[in-house]
Amino acid sequence: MLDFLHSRRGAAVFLVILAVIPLLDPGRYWLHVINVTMIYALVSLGQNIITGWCGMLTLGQAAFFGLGAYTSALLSLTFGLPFIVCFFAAGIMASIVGALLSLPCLRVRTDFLSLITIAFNQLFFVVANNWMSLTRGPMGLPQVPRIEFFGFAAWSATDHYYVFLVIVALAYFAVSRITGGATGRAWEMIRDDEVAARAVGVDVVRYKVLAFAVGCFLAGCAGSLFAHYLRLVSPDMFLLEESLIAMQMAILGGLASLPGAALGAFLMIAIPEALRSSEPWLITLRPGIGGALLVILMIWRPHGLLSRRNTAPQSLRALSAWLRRGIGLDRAPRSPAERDRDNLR
Amino acid sequence: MEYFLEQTVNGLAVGSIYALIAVGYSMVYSILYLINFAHGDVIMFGAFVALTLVGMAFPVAAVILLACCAGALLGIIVERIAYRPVREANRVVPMISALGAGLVLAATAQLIWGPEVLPFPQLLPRGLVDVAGIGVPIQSLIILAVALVLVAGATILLYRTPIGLAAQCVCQDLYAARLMGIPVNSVIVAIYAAGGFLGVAGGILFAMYFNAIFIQMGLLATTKAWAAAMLGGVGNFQGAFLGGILLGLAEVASVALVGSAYKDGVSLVIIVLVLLLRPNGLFGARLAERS
Repeated sequence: MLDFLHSRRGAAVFLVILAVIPLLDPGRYWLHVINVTMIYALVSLGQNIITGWCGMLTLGQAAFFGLGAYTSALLSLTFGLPFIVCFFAAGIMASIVGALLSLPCLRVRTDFLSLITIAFNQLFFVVANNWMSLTRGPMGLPQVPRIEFFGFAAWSATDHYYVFLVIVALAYFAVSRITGGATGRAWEMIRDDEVAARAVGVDVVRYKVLAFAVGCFLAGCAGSLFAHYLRLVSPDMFLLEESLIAMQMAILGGLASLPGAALGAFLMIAIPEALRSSEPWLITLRPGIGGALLVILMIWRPHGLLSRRNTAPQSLRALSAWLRRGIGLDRAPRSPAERDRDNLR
Repeated sequence: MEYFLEQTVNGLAVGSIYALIAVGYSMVYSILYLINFAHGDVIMFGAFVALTLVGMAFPVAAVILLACCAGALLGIIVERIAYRPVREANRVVPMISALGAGLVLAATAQLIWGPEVLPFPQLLPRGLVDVAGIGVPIQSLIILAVALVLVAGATILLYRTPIGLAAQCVCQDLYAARLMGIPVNSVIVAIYAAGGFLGVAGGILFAMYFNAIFIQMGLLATTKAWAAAMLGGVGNFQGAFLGGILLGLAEVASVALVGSAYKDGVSLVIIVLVLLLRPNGLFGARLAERS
C-alpha cells in the first residue's frame, strides 16, 4: 500500500481522481475546501523539504507564506504587474529572505533555526501590522486582482481548482525530481548523519541553505495563490499558529514523503474546514489535537504516518503485532533484522 | 535625566523577568542540549493556575508557591510523556514531541480559561519609594529582588548540591553517569521540575507586570527568554541573568527610540546578531558541539 502510494502509478491514479472531482459537481463549498487544501499542500511540501528531507525544524513557514502573499498582492496592486510575474516574484522574495535568515544559524547550530524562525514569524506580524503606508496594517489589502494569465481568467471555484491542481502537481513533480536525485540524497545524508556527510565532502551549509530556500520558495508561491484566490491579505492570516499547523501537516503526514505532505494538508486543513459549521470546536482545538497526535506519533512512528522510513507493517498480521508491541501487550524480543533497522534510524 | 533613570528601572524589572524564564530554559538546555519547546506553555499554564488561585482568595505567598509547584509538576509530566520515551531518537524527534506537548497544554488552557486576554491582579504592593530623588516603583524593586534570589538559588542548586553535581555529570556524559550509579532519570526529572518552578515564577511576574495573561504568552516569552539566554551564553546562569537584564534595557531603549510597535523585534535582532558575532554569547565559555 505504502509502496503503491509512493510509486509513479499511485501518483497518476491520485491525479486522475482529483481531476475528475469537479466533474461530479460537488458544489462550490466543497471545491473551496479542496482549493484551500491544495494551497496548504504547497506549504506542507515546503515544510517537508526543510524538516523531512533535511532534518531542520523550522517554525516560521506562515511568515514566508505571508511574505509571498504580500509581495504578490502589492506588486499587482501598486504596479499592476501580471499574475505570473507576481507569482514567481513572491516565491523568489520568500526564498531570498529565507536563505538570508537561515545563513547565520546554519553556520552555527541548526537547533537555533527553530527559534529564529519563531522570532521572525512574530516580527513579520508586527511589521505587517504596523507599516501602515505599505501594508495598510490590520485593515489588510482588499481587492487583490484575480488570477489571470495568457488571456485566461479564473472566475469560478472550478477555474481555481484546475489552476491550483496544475500548479500543485507541477510542484510535487519538481520536488520528486529534486529529492530523487543527488540533491535529495545529500539532504537525507545531512539529516541522518551530518558529520559523515561532511566527511564525504557534502557542503553541509550550502545544502541546508538550499533546502531552506526551496522550502520558502514553495511557501511564497502558495502565499501568492492564497492572496489572489481570497483577494484579501491581512496580517492575522499569517500568525505563528499557522506555522505550527504547517509543521504539524508535514510531520503528521509523513516526513520525507510526497503523499505524506498531501495527506498532512488534508488532515489539518480539509477535515477541520469541512466540519467547520457542524463541529466548530474542531477548528479551535485543531492545534491541541494535532499536538497530542504529534506526541503519540513521535513515540510510535517518529517519521509520520505515510513515511517509508518507519518499519511499516505490510500485512495485517504484522500490523497487529506492531500495535500490540506499541501498547506494551507483547514484550517478545524483536528480530535481529528489525533491531538493526531501528538502530540505524 | 529623570525620564532616563525611570526607564532604566523599568528595563531592569522587565529584564529580570526575562532572566527568570531564560534561566529555566538554560537549565534544561544545558543538561540534554534540547530546546524545551513546551517550557513556554508550562509557564503560561502556571500563570493561569495562579490566576485561578487568586480567584479562590488564597493568600499571595501561597498563590505564588502553589502555582510554581504546579509548574514543576507540569515540567515533570512533560518530561515523562514527551521526552523520556524518545530520548534516544534523532534530535528533531524530542523537539517535535515537546512542541506537541506544548500545543496540548495551550489547547487545554484555552478550554479552561478561554482565548481572551485577561487582566492579572496586582499581587505586589504598588507605589513609589524615593531613591536619591527619583521615584522608583516598589514593584520593580521586588521583582528584581525575587529574580536575584531565585537565580542565586538555581546556581547554588546546580553547583553546590549533590543533585546539581549529578546533573553536571549527566550533562557531560549520560551513559557514563548511569554506569557510575547516578539515577539519571530522577536527576533529569529534578532539572525539569526546577526549570518549571523558575519559569512559572517568571511567568507570574510577567503577567503581573504587563497586567495581562493570554494563551500566546508562552511563545512570546519563549523568544524573549531565548534572546536573553543566547546573549548571556546558553547554559550559563549568570550569563542568562545578565542577558535578560540587557534585553530588558534594550527593549526599553528601543521603545524610546523607534516606538513601542517594534519592541518585540528587538529579541530577533539580538538572536541574529549574537549568532553572527558571538555564537557562544557575551559571557559564554566555548563548548564543543555534540553531534
